[in-house]
Amino acid sequence: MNRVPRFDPVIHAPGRLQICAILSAADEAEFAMVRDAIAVSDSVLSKHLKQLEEASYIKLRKQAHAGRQRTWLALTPAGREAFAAHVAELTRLAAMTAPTPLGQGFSG
Amino acid sequence: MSEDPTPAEALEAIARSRRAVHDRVATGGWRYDLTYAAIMAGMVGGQALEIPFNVFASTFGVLALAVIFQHESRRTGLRITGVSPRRARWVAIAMGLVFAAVMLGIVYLRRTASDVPVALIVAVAAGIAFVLALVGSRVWRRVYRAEMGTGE
Repeated sequence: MNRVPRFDPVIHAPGRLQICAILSAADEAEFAMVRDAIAVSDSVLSKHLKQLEEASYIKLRKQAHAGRQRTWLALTPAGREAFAAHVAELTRLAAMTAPTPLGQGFSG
Repeated sequence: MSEDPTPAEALEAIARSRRAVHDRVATGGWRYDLTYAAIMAGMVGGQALEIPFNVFASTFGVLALAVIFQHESRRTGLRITGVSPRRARWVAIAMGLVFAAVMLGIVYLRRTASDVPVALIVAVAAGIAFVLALVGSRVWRRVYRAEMGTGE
């Protein structure tokens, strides 16, 4: 995947990073599944989702089933693009900061 | 993970989250794959029957696929269609083409080999479809699993 690396502060926060990682692996994920996967409370997850929604990175869909309402979350095309660019930037930075094996670095 | 993770920590967190998604989908995967293969066997084998039974086989097959997809979505909390992952979609597309070819082959056989018992064509077609669906489904899972590890 050739993306232009771009650091995204909205995505980079740990909770939102995990949310985007989960959503990037599926078409949609259910609110409770994401909450349990990243081990946060409903209110903390809602706060993260609000920030991602304000950035137009995710969309929410409500669905009633057996008298219960479920909320399904999905990355928007812009969200997928931003997440891929962020991962590309992280990969680039990680490669830059990776320790140089002995004997291959500057020897003076 | 800290509030301001290093790039390596962030990449590890992403990989961990994606593995968690895969593990959730993989649990109970055999049961889903066997059910899917049985439905495909009925759909494909049913094409050897006369009208309207072949139409019934297709209709009930599509409905049954929709039902198991919904059931799986509720069970895992995830909706993943076969064609959405970047690499695994090619397995799903290949399976679709193979099933279409098998169905056309059945229709051709029914028209040209009228002396072959219908029950035999149904049984052979259903058997082939069952094996193809099961193998295809397992291959799709392997490709999806590999894809989850690449960050794509």
